[in-house]
Amino acid sequence: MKYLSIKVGLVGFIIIKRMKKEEFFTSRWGLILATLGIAVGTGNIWRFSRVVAQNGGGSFLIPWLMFLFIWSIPLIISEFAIGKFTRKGPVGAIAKIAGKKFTWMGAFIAFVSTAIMFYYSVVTGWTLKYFVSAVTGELLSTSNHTELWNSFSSGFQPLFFHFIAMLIGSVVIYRGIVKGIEKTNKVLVITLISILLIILVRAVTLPNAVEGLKYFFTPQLEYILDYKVWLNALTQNAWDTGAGWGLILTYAVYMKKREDVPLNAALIGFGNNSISLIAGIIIFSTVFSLSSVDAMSQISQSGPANTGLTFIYLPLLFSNLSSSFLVNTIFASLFFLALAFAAISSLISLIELTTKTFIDFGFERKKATIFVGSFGFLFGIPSALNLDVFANQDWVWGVALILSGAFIAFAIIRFGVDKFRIELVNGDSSDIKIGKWFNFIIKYLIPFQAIVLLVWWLASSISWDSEWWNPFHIANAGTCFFQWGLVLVLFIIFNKKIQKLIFDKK
Amino acid sequence: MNFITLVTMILVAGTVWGGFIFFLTVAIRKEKRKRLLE
Repeated sequence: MKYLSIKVGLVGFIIIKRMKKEEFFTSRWGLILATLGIAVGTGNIWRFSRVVAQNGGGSFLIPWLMFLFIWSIPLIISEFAIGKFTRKGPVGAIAKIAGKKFTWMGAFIAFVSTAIMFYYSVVTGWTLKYFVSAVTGELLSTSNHTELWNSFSSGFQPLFFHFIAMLIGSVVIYRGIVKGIEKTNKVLVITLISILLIILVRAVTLPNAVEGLKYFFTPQLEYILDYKVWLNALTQNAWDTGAGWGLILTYAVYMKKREDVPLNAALIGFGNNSISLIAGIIIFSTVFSLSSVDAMSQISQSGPANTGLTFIYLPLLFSNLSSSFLVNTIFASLFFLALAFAAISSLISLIELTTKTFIDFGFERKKATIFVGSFGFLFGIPSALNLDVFANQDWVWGVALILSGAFIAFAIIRFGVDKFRIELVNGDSSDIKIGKWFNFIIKYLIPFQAIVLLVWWLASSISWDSEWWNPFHIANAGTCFFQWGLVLVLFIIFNKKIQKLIFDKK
Repeated sequence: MNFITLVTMILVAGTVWGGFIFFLTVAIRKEKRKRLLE
C-alpha cells in the first residue's frame, strides 16, 4: 500500500511539473464557486419545478434526495479525483484511469458535452433575450406571451442571441482559469444566489403562497409507490447536478495538489440541490399565489422546447405581482438575470471542456478557444433556427449523459475501486475520509442505475412513437442508437489515433 | 400545514440546506486551520 501511495504521489508530481504553464484556481472558494456554476443551470430553475409538479410534489422530493447520495455525490467525488490525478480533459483522463484501449470512452464523454454545448448556447441566448425584454419593459407590456415567444423563436433573433452567448462564454475561456473562469463565476454565482434569495423572500410573502409550499412538500402515497417518480428523480439528479458529464473533471484539472476532494464534492452536491429547492419554492409559491386558473396544470406543462412555464406563464405572473409596473419589471428582470447567469456559468464549463480537449491535443489555449467558439457557434445554428432540431439534440445527448456517467464508473472499476478511493479520493490532502460505501455505489449502484435509466427512457419512447426505430424522428430510441452508434463507431475505429494525439505529442 | 407536510419539509429542506451549511462550516474551519499552519 505504501509503495502504491509513493507511486501515485510521484505520478502526480511529474504531471504537476508538466503543467507548470497551466493555471490553478487561487483558492478553495474560487474552485467551489466555479464548480457550483457548472451544477447550477437552467435545469435547476425550469426543469426541477416542472418535474416536481408532474410527480406529486413532496413525493418526488424524497427519491430526489436519495439519489443525491447514490448518484450525484459519488460521481462528483469521482470526477474531482480523476481530474486532479490525471490533469487531463475527459479523453486523456479516462485513458489514464481505464487504460488506453478505452480512450474512445473518454472521447464519447467529451463529445456528448460538446454536442450539448452547441444547443445550450441557444438556450443561454433565449435567457439573455428575455432578460433584455424584461429590462426594456417589452415583456410585461405584452398581453400575449405565447405570441411573443412564437415570434421570437421563429425568427432570426435566437441566432443573434446564440452568437452573443457563445461570444461571452468564449471570451471568459480565452482569459484563462483565474482571470476568466474563476473571476467570472465568483460574480455570476454570488449574484445568482443573492437574486434568488431576494425573490424567495418576495415569493413566500405573497398571499396564498403557503398553498404552493403545501403542495411542494406534501408527499402522496400513490406517487411514492410509482416507479416512474423514482426514475424521474434519478434523471433529475443525473441531468441537473452536472455529475458524470466530465465538466467537474475538467475544472478539477486546475485544483491545487493540496486541495481536498470529498468535502468539495459534498459542498457542490448539497449546494446545487439547495438552489433547486429555493427555485422550487419560488415557482410554487408564486404560481399558487398569482395564478387565476389551475396552478398545477400550469407548472406541469412542458411548454415550448421543454422550458415549462418560464417563457410563457411566468411573465404573465410577474405582470400581476403588484399594481406597480416598475416593481413588477424589477422582479421580472431579476428573475431572468438569475436565469441568464445560471445558463452562462454552465455554458462556460461546456466550452472549457471542449477547449481543454483541444489543449490536450496540443493546441495553445487562445487558439483552441477561438476554434471552439467558432465551431460552437456554427454547429449551434441548426438548433437556433429550428426547434425540432433543438428537441432532437436535447433528447439524444441528454440521454447519452447517463452513458457518460456509466463510463466514468467503468473507468474507476478498471482502475480498482478500492485503490481509487484510498489513493485518489482519500489522499493526504483530503479533509474528510470516504468509507467503503463508495466502493459499493461505484461498483454496483451506478452501473445498475445507469442501465435501468437507459432502458426506461429508450423503452418509453416506444409508447410515444410507433416508429420508435426510425432514426430521423425527433425523440425516440432509433435516433439515439443512430447518432450514438455513429459517434461510438468512429471513436472506436480511431482509438489509437486519438491516443497518439493526447500522449505522443512532441 | 399538516404533520406529514411539516415532517417532509424538515426532512428534505433540513437535509439539503443543513448538509450544505454543515459542509460549508467544516470547509471554513479547515481553511482557517490551514492558514494558521502556514
